[in-house]
Amino acid sequence: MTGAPDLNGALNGDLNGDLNRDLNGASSRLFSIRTEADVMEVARGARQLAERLGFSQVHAYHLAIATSELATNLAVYAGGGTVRLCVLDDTEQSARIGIELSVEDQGPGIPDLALAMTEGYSTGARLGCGLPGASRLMDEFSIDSSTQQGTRIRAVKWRQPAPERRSPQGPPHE
Amino acid sequence: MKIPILRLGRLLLVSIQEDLTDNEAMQFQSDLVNKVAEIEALGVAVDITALDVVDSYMARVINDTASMVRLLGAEVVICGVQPFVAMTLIEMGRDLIGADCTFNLDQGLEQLKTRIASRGDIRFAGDEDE
Repeated sequence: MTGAPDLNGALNGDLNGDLNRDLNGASSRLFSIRTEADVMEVARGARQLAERLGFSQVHAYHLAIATSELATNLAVYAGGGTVRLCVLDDTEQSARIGIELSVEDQGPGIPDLALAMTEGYSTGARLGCGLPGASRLMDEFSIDSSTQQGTRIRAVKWRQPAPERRSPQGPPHE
Repeated sequence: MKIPILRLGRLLLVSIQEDLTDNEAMQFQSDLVNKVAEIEALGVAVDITALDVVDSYMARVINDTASMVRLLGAEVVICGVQPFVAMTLIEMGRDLIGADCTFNLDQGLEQLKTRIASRGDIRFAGDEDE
């Protein structure tokens, strides 16, 4: 934890969230997304958390927008779902801190993932850059979707200096 | 939340300061387009300096609104795109904002006036009072 900002304080802070600790001791906060107001709240929460952890303004904003894009998908396409913001404290090994975004829904699933990750493809009246855009804004991005179990997305933004721009298990979008 | 549309001669000024829901965005678009038609506005400046979250949806709303205003025959300019907003929109990867932009409202108004003058619009006389 050397030199790291107070992680619990960062999560608690203005967020007033019920701070939970999972098995690894990581702090996280769960947002339930149904409406557009929920989307704004989680995007704001992500940004505040990132700024409090010492992310640069641009990277905090990247995280907020990626969060907004993914949460919007929940509200618009999936009939609601959850977003979990989780602080990854890796300071002992590699001196890095990240924020993990876990997005889950029980919605209809995405029939063709490769197509959904394609620039400009949208089934709705949208720009079609939500998923590919969000993946580009994050350092790591993986998505798993089935028509039975809905969609699961895990994405990570590392506090700079970032290790690799893209993780090997990233989506096949480039 | 209703977005105020301010009139300055034959120009309209709009400042979007809060995230809009889908409904509010649609309301804003139709309010603005109707207002432009009603006063036959020559130019519209949309200021987004204070807008916190410009995601692909907001970018689309801004872009569509600009296109609609242009279709009616008015000039349009987007003012105050913040550096981190610009970096994020480009990182997301498409031409999310296609309209002309200026640093601030001041320059936006100047540019509108220049453009209106250069298209030879005799209806516009700078600081006219109607």
